[in-house]
Amino acid sequence: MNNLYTIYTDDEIDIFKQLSIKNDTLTPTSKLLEISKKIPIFNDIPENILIKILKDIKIIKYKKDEIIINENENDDTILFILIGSVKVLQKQKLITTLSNHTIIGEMASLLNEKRTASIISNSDSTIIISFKIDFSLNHSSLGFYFSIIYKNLAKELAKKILHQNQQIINK
Amino acid sequence: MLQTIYQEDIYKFIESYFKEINDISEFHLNFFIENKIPTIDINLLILEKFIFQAFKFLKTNLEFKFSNFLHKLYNDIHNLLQFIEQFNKKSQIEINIFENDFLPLLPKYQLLKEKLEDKYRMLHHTDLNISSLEVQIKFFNPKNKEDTNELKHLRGRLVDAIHYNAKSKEDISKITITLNNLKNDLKDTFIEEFHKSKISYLSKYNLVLNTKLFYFNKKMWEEINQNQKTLSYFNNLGLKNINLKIYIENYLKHIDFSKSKNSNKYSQIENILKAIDE
Repeated sequence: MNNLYTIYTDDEIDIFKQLSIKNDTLTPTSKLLEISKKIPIFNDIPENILIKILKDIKIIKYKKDEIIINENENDDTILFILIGSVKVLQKQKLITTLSNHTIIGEMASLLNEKRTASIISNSDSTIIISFKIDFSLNHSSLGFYFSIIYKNLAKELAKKILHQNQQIINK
Repeated sequence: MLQTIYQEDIYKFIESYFKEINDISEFHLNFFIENKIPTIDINLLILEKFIFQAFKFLKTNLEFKFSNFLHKLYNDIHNLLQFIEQFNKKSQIEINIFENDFLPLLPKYQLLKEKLEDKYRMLHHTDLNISSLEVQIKFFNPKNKEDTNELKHLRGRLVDAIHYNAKSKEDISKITITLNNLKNDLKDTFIEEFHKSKISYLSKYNLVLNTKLFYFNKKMWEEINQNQKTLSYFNNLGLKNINLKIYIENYLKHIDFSKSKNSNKYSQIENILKAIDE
C-alpha cells in the first residue's frame, strides 16, 4: 500500500522543521537519546533503559544572572550544564563556579533533601538539561543499571570535590 | 527442549508477521532522522479524535481553508491509523495466530495433520465397509457349500475390517496426542514472544503516529490563529488564543465526571494535556 509511505517535498520538510524549533521544552525521543550520550552519569546505560528511568527531561536556556535553582527549595530535579557556566551561592555568598558538562543538583535528588545552594546562570546563553531519575525503579529488574548510575554519580561527585579543592588552593 | 528446536521458526514467523508494520515505521522514522526532525514521545493518540474533530469541524462548519500541507499530513495520519486499526484487529487473539498461521507452517505439524486426515478417511471407509459386510452377512442365506464358503469369507473380511478399524482408532489417538503435545509445548513460548514483539513493533509505529499528530496539531492551531474568521468564532465562545488544550478543556467542562463511564479516559487526557506544554 503506497499511501502508507507518504513522501514530503523539501518545502514541506521545512514546515516540519519550523514547527519543531518552536518546541525546545518538549521531550522528543530523538533529542533525549542524543542528550543522554552527553551526560556522564549515563555512561554504559543502554538507550532503551534510559527511556524507562528518565522523567521530565527538558532543555532550558538561561540568560546571565537568571536563577536556575533556589537554595532551600524542595526539588529533586538533576541538572546538567550543556553549554555555559553557573555560579553556586550559599546564603548569597559565592562558593564556586561550574562550567560545561557538570552535573548539579544530584545531592538533593539522592538524599531527598532541600537544595543546599542557589545556582545562577553565569553566561548569556547557558543551556541546561533538566531531568529526574525514577529511583523507585531501583528495586525492579533494572536494579543492575542503577548500580552503574550510582558508580557514575560517585565519579562525578569525586571530580567536583577535586575541582572545589583546586579552587580553594588557587585562592 | 522442543521449544529450543522450534525457537528459530518462532522468531522467523514473528519477523515476517511484523515485517510490513516494521517497514512502515522504519520508513517514517528514517525520514525524521535524515531530515533532523525530532520525534515526539507524548501519547497524542489518545487525543486523536479531538484533533481531527476540530479539523473537520472548522473545515465543514466554518469553511476554513487549511493549507495543502495540513491536508496531506491529515491523509498520511489517517491512512496510518486505518492500517494499524486493521492490524490490531487481526493480531488481537494471539492463540488464533498460533493455531491458524504459525502451526501449519511447521513441517512436522503438517505431516502429523496429513497422517491424521488419512487415518480419519480410512476409518470412515472401513466404517462403511463394516456396515456393508454386516448387512450382507445378516441377510445371507447359504444354500450350498459354495455359499457357506462365501459366508465364511465375508465373516473373515468383517473380522479384518474390525481389526483394521480398531488399529486406526489407536493410531488416531496416538497422532492426536503427539499433535497436542507439540501444540502445548510451543504455545506458551510462541504467545510470550509474539506478545513481546507486538508491544515493541507497535511502540515504534506509535512513535511515528504521535510525532505526525504532534506536528499536525501544532500546524493546525497555528493556521487557525492566523485567521480572523475562526478567531472571532472562538472569541465569541469566550476562548482566546485557541489551542488544543483550551479546545479540550472547554469540551471537558461540559462533562459530568461522576456520571461519565469514560472518567478514567478523561483523567488520562488531562495528564497528556499537561505534557503537551503548548
